[in-house]
Amino acid sequence: MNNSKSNQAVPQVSASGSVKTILVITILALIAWQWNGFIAIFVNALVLIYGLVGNNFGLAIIIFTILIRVVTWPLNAQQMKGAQAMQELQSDKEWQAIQKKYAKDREKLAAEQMRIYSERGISPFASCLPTLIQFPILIALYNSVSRALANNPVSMLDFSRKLYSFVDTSALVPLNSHFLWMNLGKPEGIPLPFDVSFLPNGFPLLALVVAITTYVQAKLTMPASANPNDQSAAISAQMAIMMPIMLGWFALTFPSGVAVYFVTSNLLGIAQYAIQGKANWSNLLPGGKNNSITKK
Amino acid sequence: MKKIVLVSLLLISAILLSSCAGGGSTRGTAGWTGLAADADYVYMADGNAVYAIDLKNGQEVWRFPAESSTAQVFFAPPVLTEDGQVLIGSEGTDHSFYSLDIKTGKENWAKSFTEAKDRWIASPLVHNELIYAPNADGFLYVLNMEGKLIDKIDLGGELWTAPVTDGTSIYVTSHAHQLQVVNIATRKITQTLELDGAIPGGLTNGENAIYFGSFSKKLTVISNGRQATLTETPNWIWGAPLLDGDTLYYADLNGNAYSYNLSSAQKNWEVALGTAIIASPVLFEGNLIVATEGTGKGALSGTIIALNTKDGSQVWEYATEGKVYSNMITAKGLILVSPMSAEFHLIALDMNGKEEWTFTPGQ
Repeated sequence: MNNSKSNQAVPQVSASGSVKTILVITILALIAWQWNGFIAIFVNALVLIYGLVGNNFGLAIIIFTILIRVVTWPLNAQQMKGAQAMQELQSDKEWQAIQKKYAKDREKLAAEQMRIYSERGISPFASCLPTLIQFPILIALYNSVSRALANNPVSMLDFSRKLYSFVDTSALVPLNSHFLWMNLGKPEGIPLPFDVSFLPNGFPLLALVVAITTYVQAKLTMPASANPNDQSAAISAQMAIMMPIMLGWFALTFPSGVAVYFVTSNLLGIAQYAIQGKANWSNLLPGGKNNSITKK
Repeated sequence: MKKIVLVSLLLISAILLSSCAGGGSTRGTAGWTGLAADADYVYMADGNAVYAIDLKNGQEVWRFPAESSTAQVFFAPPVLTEDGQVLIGSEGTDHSFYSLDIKTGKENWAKSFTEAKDRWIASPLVHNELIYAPNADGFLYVLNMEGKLIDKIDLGGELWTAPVTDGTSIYVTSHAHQLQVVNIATRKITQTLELDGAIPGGLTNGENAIYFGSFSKKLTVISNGRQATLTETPNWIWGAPLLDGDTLYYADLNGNAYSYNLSSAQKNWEVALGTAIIASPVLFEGNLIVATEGTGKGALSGTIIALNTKDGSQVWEYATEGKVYSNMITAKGLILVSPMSAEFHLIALDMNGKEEWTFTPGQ
């Protein structure tokens, strides 16, 4: 009886988890195998959009990011669903019971956990695998922006060789790298009236925006949990601190075109969570439910 | 488990992105070399230093700076002035423009010119005791011979190619697909010509005409303020065309070299030489010298090829075991080439394509 109640409480995730896992791994393997071709797709897509939006590379990056978000929307949705299922499992009575019962028998505990995953159609990596897709996209975009905004003759030549011959880009290249106050091929910074040795590019406004939007997105996606032993919540809390610092540092160091991608992607991520009703806005308030969660 | 996976992903992405960013600009990553020569020395802008090398034996005479810095990167051909200066800007993060003593390599000016906001990719033009230096920040800086700023002219796009002059005006191209005509007396823009494509290799000055090839796959002439297409190519033209009498020599990224007769407006000949041709052709001892980029080693490496100017037939060739991007120069009966990824940084060939000496910077 207890089991059936628990089953109702935990959202069911499609039993095709392993198929999706294989699909994600296959996609990653294909990307790794044809990495240069993957970069070329990005470069040409960016150049094509650049031409369509009146030779504005900043807008091209924003539109390209939106397209990537649309294409990966199902993956992100699955990630959210998987994360929520794993989160809610932590509060499940049967789950908690086996944690206590087999606390000293890790093999048995693992076997029982797998049984519960299997029974309820939950893939423990369902929320993790879609994230894997994001990394090659991020690295490819970084590569593409750097290549497209060639800043010397050698990189210009290299860039020219990434362009598809059937697309007439002669009127577009070299690309205009200026967008708002930024040179998209260089780290962003607003000039300061005085020299600050650790801020050679000036005040890093965009890096701050990247860090803030990353933090906001991470906080919004942290589901409420009352279980102090909830490992997922503890990991989420740590990631909410780690990710803004890391992406903020990337934005500070790398071409500002990549930072524009981060900000756009974060804002779209926040919008996606909000549209799907998954955004946990209370987490942004001081004393939000998850603020006190720590791993014991 | 999940935590380990996520932390690993973060670390892997950080490492991958960091490795993609590359380090300081050095030879082979930032650009290619720039060459200039006088009767005694060849001056080579090469990565983090500028070298003066004796034409007789390929021995280093001086280098600047004595202690190299990753902030300084040089690859534009240095400009030699009549009063003994070697002028060159840095493509590195220092954004400095230097005047060096041609004999010693020491800095001439009390302080290098540092007011530009971006990289110095193009060589300057020296005309009537003034230096016209184009910077990637879009300004043409006008300096006197002591390095003092006289004026700066906003040309609106990154400037990567050396200006040319007809004595009255200065012609400069920008990444904004424009060719600007600046009056020397007033230092004002008198005409802006919109181009079909960017000009990577620079302009060639002719009698009452300016010639150039571009990313638009066209060989173009500008005369009396109007531009006209002379002929088209199947791929981008990178190097500036070479003018000899009424013949233009040029090449494209498909590896074709061409001879074009300006009087008849017809091609004299064209030859396919394999891999892309980026460097501008030069004339040497009656032959046309072209350099293919190359795709590998041995027969696939960048090759210096001497062609008969009459029919394009091959006279000799020399495989560099590297890749050839930068312009070649001739001096003292030698042709000087600086291939990338070769065992040496500079090679001197005689009129028959025989190696005279090579130069590799010592520590």
